[in-house]
Amino acid sequence: MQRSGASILKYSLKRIGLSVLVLLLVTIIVFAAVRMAPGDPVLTKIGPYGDQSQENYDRIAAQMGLDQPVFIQYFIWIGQILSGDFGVSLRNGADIGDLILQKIPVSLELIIVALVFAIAIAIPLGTKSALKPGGGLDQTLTVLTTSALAMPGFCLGLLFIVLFSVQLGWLPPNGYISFAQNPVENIRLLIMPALTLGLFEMAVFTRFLRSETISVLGSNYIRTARAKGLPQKKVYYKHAFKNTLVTFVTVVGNEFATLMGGTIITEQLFGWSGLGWFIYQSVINRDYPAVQAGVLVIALSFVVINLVVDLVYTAIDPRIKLS
Amino acid sequence: MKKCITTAIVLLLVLSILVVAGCGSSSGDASGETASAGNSAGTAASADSPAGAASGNSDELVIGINGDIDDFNPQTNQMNNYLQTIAFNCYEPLMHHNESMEYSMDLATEYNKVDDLTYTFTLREDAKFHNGEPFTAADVVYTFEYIQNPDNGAWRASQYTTLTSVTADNDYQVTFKLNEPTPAFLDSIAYTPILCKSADPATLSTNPVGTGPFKFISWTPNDNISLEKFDEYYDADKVSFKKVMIKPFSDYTVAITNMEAGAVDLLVNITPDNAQTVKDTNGLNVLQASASNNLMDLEIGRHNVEAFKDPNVLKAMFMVFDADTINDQIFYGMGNKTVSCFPSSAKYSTPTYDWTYDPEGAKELLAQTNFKDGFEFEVKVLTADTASEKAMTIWQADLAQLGINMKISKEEMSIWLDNYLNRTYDMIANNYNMVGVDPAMFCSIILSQLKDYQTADLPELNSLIEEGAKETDETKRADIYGNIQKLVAENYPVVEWIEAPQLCGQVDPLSGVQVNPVGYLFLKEAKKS
Repeated sequence: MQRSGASILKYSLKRIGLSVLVLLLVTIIVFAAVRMAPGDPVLTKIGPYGDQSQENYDRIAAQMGLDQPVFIQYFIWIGQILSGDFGVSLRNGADIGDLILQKIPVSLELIIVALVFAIAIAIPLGTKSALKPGGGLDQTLTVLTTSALAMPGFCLGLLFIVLFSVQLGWLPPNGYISFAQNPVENIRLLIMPALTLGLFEMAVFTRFLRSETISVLGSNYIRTARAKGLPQKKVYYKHAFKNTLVTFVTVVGNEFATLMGGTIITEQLFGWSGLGWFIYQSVINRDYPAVQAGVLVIALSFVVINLVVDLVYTAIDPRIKLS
Repeated sequence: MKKCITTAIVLLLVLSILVVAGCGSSSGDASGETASAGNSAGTAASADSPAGAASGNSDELVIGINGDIDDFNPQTNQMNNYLQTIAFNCYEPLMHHNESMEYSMDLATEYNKVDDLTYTFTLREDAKFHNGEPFTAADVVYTFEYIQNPDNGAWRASQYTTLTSVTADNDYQVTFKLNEPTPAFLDSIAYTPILCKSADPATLSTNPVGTGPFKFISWTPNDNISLEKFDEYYDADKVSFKKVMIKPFSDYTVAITNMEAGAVDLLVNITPDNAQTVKDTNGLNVLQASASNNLMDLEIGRHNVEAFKDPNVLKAMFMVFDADTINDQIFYGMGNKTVSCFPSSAKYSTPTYDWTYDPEGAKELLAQTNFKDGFEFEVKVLTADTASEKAMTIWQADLAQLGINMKISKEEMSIWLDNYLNRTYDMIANNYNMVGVDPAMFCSIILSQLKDYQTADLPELNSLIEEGAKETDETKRADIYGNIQKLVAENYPVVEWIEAPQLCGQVDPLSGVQVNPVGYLFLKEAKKS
């Protein structure tokens, strides 16, 4: 059954409308949250040895725009966002839009490579493991994936640095270089952080695919297919795999969105400075506009990825209705 | 078939990793080499040489620091990681304190104290700013106008409250006029970088323009700060490194591993724990300043806690502060027990503290107070200040023997600052690097801020601080600062408990890095042999 372009458009518009509402809610929550958090950006700017007079405090607050009532500050910020301006850092006046644009590709590269690596390994391993549950491969994989999940990323990454950088001297331990600038160096620097992140994700995906596949293989339609005398591989690849893919795409989508701001430890460990670290540092510095912009970008990525995932569902499984 | 494809994919991945790893490490150097030539601002500059390209390249110095720097304006950024690494290598003052805390001339060639209220400085005629502009007296005048303009939020403004005018006598001589004698004036000058009059003041935080041996190229947040040798520097012959890359690390264990891998040459402001690791690692060594002005202190909320209003309670508490054990266990014996609230290298430093560990005496003394049954209080410690946290843990056990329950509360920087500046604490751990040798600096930065709080009931102390700041007679000053140290020791508004060592880790081939007791690095003559 072919879906009409109009229904896809209608569905997409409806989702976009809901997404705008979600984003609006996010702006309110993040704006309120950063202001309710203890720690004053004005005092952070004054520092321990600056002029501690009330007059100086008021002057700096006015320079930062923090002397206005909170709701006025919110509407000023929303107005800026709508005109494509993320504002400037309270710390140094740097353009936040520029800083975020600098960080997004850095994060995306790490996340995409880590996820592709994880998916490429997880699909064959997870499904093979599910086809013979309790077998040798399944048991081995259970041990390995549990280990990968249990091992903190920080320890695993540090082990990689000691092995590949200190002992073998194969890879640089720290830094970032854009692919356009130097592709080989970019890949050399990417390998360890992508492996650190990818191995964890691989374990998540493998275990998910295993359990999902086992569940699907127990379904009535699979039993029917088997009863018809179809070979095991055909039963799996023709009938079961597509069904596991639907939920797998959701899991991958969620992981992708989570990782957009959730790779701080890996970033810090390998000096691969992406969006997560940027937001973390901004929170520490109470750099309100930077935190707000960073969180908004992540929320936006969640919304977009969810939309894409929903659209991909319908392509994978025509039974899912666009409603 | 599927099996073959799976195997092929895995093999291809492994092969790709090996090929890429092999490509970059063809030099046989663990760290790899500089990625490419060329340079540009922003992220591209980091691409030029990621930190992995450090060792083996004698033209480039990679420095690891604790946390990122986001403000490059030397008049507004007061954080140690900036002041110790960049402020005095991108910028220069008229003169600075060298490793022995003696004045060493930079942009000035000589100074003359005409009288108690007048100083003249003769300036170098061969210095230039990184934007190509020649350095003249107008830049010095501009710098002090900038500092004294409240709109600029310069944190050094409080050091120049007695400065009434700075005038250019000619292009290469300036005269400073004060409205009252200020003996610490020269110490302040030695820590005041000179700005460029023609540089845009609006972008000083992101695009600094100084006269120092290294010019600022780019900052990529949380990634690197890139500096380059300034070829027109007046002492360019002495500068070996063509590039300096500063890398922020959130964890020094990782940073030391990076040093081992040859990706970092110099690690600034390491903890004594880190120093032990560095010492035990082949190819690395510890660089320690000959003395230290780095005071670990406890500021005590005498205005907030009833028990702290009784000096005998505080005396009893510090009788169980085991300074020797703390120095041995936390600082590996590299620190110095303080002799008074001033660093021992400060002028007029007089022994007033008694660190004798006497639990029995403490119990007896506490029994004579209204708090013989003990009490409870909280000490706030900065999250990153692991030395204070460990020391407090040791002290906590000893205080418990007196029936005093001390809670340790770790706070991140902005929350800690809120409490510190609003003086909303029972007790708070701080770490202060006293710039210069004149104790008026310590008094103005630390003690004067307490006059409405924990020293509000000590008017004598507050008037002595004011007298000391303007007294010029050496004998009288010695008396005044002797009394200040005595009053602080007797009343405990603050307690400086150790002079923490100024430590850096460096790779063996690195030499010529100068560190003064304030912990400021001077990289001009640093080189890798």
